[in-house]
Amino acid sequence: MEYDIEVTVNDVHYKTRVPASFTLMQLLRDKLHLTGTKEGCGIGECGACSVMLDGQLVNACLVLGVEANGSAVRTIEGEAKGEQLSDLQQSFIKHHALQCGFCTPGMILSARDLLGRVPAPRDEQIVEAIAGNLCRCTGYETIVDAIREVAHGPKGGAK
Amino acid sequence: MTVPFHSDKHQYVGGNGERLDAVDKVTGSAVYVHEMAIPGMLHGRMKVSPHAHARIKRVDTSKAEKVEGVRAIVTGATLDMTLGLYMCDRPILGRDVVRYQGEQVAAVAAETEFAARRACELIEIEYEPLPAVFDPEEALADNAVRVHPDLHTYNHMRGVFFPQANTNIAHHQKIRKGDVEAGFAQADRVFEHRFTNPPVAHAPIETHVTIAQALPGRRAHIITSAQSPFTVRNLFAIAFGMPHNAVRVQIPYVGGGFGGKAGIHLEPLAYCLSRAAGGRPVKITASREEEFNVLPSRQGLKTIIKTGVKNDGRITALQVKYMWDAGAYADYGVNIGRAAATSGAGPYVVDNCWIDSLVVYTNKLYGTAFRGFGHLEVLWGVERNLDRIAHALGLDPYEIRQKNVLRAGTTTITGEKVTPNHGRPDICLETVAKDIAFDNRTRTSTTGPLPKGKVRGKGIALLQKSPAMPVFTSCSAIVKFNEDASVNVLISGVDYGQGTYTSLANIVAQELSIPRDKVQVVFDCDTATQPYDWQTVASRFQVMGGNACIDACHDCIAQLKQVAGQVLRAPDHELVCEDERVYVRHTPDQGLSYREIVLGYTYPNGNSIGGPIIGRGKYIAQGLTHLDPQTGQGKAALDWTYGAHGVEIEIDTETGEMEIIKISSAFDIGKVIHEGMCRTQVQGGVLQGLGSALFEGFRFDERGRMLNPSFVDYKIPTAKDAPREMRQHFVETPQLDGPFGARGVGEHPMISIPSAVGNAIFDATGVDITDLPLTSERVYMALKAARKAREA
Amino acid sequence: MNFAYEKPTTAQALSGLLEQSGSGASLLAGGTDLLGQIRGRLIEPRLVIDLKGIEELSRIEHHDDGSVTIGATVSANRIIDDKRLHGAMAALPEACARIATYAIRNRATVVGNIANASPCADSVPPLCVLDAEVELRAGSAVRRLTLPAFIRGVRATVRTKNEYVAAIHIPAHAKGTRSFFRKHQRVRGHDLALANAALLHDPENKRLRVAIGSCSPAPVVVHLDDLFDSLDAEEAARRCMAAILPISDVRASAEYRTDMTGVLVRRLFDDLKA
Repeated sequence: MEYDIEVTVNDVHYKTRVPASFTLMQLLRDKLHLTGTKEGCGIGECGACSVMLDGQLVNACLVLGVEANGSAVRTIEGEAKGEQLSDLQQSFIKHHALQCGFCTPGMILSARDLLGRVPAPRDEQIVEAIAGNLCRCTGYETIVDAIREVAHGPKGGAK
Repeated sequence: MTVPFHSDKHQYVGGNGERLDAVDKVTGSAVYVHEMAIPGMLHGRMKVSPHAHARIKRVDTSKAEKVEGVRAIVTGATLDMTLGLYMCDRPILGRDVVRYQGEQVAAVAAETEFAARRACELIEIEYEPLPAVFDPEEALADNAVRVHPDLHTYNHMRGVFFPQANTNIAHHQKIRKGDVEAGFAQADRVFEHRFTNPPVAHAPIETHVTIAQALPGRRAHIITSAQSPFTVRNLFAIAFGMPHNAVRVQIPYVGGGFGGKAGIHLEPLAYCLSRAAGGRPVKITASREEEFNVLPSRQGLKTIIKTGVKNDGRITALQVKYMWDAGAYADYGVNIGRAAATSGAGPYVVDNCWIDSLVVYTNKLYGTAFRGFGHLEVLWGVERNLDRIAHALGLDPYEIRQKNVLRAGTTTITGEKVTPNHGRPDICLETVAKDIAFDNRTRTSTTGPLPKGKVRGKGIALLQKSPAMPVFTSCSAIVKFNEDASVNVLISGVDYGQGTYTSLANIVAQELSIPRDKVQVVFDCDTATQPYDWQTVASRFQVMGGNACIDACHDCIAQLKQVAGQVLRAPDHELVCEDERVYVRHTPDQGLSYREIVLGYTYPNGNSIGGPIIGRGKYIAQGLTHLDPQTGQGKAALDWTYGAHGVEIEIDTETGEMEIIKISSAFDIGKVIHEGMCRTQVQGGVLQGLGSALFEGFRFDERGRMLNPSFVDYKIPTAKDAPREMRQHFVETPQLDGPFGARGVGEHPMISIPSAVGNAIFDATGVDITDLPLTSERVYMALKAARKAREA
Repeated sequence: MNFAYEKPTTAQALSGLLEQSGSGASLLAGGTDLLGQIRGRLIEPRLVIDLKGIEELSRIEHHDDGSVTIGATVSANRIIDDKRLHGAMAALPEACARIATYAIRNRATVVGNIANASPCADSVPPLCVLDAEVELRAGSAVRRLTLPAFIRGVRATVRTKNEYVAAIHIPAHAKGTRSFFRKHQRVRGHDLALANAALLHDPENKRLRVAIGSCSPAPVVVHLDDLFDSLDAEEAARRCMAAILPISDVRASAEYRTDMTGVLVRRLFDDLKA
């Protein structure tokens, strides 16, 4: 069955219609054409589809689109403000914290979520926060470096 | 010009600089095939075999055809093509026989994903299960089940690959150097050891995905997540009997490949569906389960190594039997069997060497290219073997390696003379050994008590690899100027994350003496508009792409000078190009900006000369030879990148769990073109190597069905699995024919990681493990067995 | 795979839906098990009923007598964040912290973890040693069962199709009671348990017990009161290893599971003595 739903994504209000079986990931990618959020496995193991749902980090593949009715979602498309890249985005670039880029949106969302909860995380907390985001390319070290710099500044925070 | 010109401006080689694709990727605006859709597109889904080996008796698509929205169904019976370049053995869909659990047998294209899936389920296929063989050693037996009874009829690259009729041997690569029997006779001790590697998944985060359209006039348009647009086009053209320029292959951003996307995969099937659907484009996206179960893996390997050594550790003879578990199809497998054999003794001087590298069919998921191309598998055995021998002789694993390592003046097992510019494995080894303080370790003896609690160990391993590529491999590049004297570089090696385009930007900007941010390397590869490149594999793109770009830049410079020379009335040799200007060297004011020239120069009175400046460059490997079919002697190597890893681990002996404390890696890459790209390649490769070392591997049940086709039970390293510390070192012995002296390093970081870890386990516990992966359970059980043996 | 979706706002409405749809309905709390099962065609519901609209199911209630009620839609992360659960009942938030990943824990519920009844469920061993009870409702009918009574076997509970698990009740524990949890995995990253175990130590009543998961079709609870004084970890380990019925599967062999059970139990005793 299909349902009319309303959802706010990155502060933009959408009205759309989805089958009950559509996941939030499909809603974002296929209905709203916000394709920055990626599908890596569909079962919540890889984190490529990480988004914020009402302020909480979730795997969009494990949420039904209809569950997001009336909710606020934040995706990678909401990270930059117009042409201005966010601090995390700039840090990822500076530290080469990406290669193929497929895990990057989810990784940045997880980092954004962490910094919202824990302003000055230790390395173990950074690792725990991104532990659900699989990356096959980078080896994770540059990603942790990038997040650490945003959290603690370029010289701050012992490794 | 008698005074050599050197510019300080725009020196980017060796430096850093932002990735060219970084902004697209951190904003989520990078488009991958995963999200692409073109008008009229249908969704394709595959149906796969539940049996490892079976005859297809009956296929009934009648119920499937009735599903609302279905536009095409294809089965093996309707398709006649066989795929393969080296070994043409794989049908697009199983025809009369299926040869592995997961083999595609039918496909549907429909208006929706849901309809395609539903229709696939409704296709009825009656199978007659056949006896199957799952182990390469068993498959070599005379009475083994034959996976390809008609092997002798298959097209293959003659003179290079040698399938053995009436067997399961897709290829037999021989290395014969010196006199191995005499070598054993000279030895003080002879050792024979066995090692195994399981098949392993690439697991890119973006699965395979393809859009194909059968265009009118027997043309094809393919948009695919792949590593090699021209290989896709070539195999396509051959398989479907189309002219090459009737096939257009485009590749946008790719979410990881690691060799799994090097060849041709879903493209022919998607095209066949499109053809059957009246030419509507068809997109097939592999689910993660299909990525594991249907799309090819790394081959497994069984190794038997017999080594003759003197008491001082010098190798006098080496005899190796490599039995590759190729799975059901061996197009890439035969090349891996060939290439890995040429490195099959490791980076050591072995005057008497006898290697048989057998690529063996089994009824399992088939193997393809995977980062390292057989070298991780081979060096697992080779480097563990050397450590075992060292321990048996009471020698230091570091010393035995330095005693045997290749040096300038020595000869490889394929008869290649090592020159001073080949690279320095000895320095790589020395570097990592020092970095982990290898000379300061427990040196657990094999006779003392087994340790309890947490223990630490250190291990080292060497590695080498040359690009495994045909003797005619080539690359080309175009550098074209824009109005504002920025350039677009067109090159169809694919940057699927490894960062080569970012490195090439360093090279082009420096060669043309322009700001680096004025170099754009075009990320969309397109066989219609971009110049030819062989494949983006083998760690050869930096080298060949770099050289092709340099050649193209020289061509640009020549054209710039040609026009400027006319205007400035000066000969070429008195002109220099620097900082976006061409000027007379001795009188710098006498010059023109690039901007004035790049689309043609206009004199004050209006006369115009020149025209758009487009630099053309190419590079083909120089001096490669075929390998002798009987002895494997020849020069197949574009270059050799040597390296080493030093690992310190901590083992919880009560559980077998291991933590990696430190990994130090060194590679002689000739020249660091881009510091960040090199460093991050190593970090990523080391983690991927750790996955293979510690927990990765496909498991199959007794009927050959895959037991772990999902991230639930096929684990890849997470951030929590990373070592506490990783260090990267680059030695720079210039490759004289490499761009700025560079060699590739894409695959090497992964190679020999398992070997170093296995060696460290012995150091920590005195326990020798010969099979991968080194799971906690395996380590624990080995410790338990050793304890029991001592108590007995 | 085309189902209907309802989000009732009252318990009555929920019961009504269950009455009507019976075995065709699936209950949705966090969705971290359900959506994967739907994707994998393990279940094909005609109706998915979202529990998150019913406010009373979303509460963690700390009662005056020290007992706790955890509603059906309370997520693992909420359990971890509730400081008051880190006393006698600490094994539960410790177990929740080992479930999957942070993002999953924002959605995965403890009730869902139990109701799914995977043998690997991390919250089950703690709830066993804490003598927790599952509250099943169907309309106005209520029944409460201990975990071992609720879980019959692999993915099998005694819940009938008209019932839903409304809450878990954890009774108050005597002063000084402590509980601990440990999990053995294949990797350092997120993983299902090869073996997991919880220990409860109640000094006032001299109670000592261990529950082991992932090593049998249903959780195994071992009463060790007679070892309360000696705290003989070796004997405890031996008894626990003998009590389980592990299988060999793609994750681990029965032998390894058994040996690791022994290790977990010994280490739980170390935690207790620390």
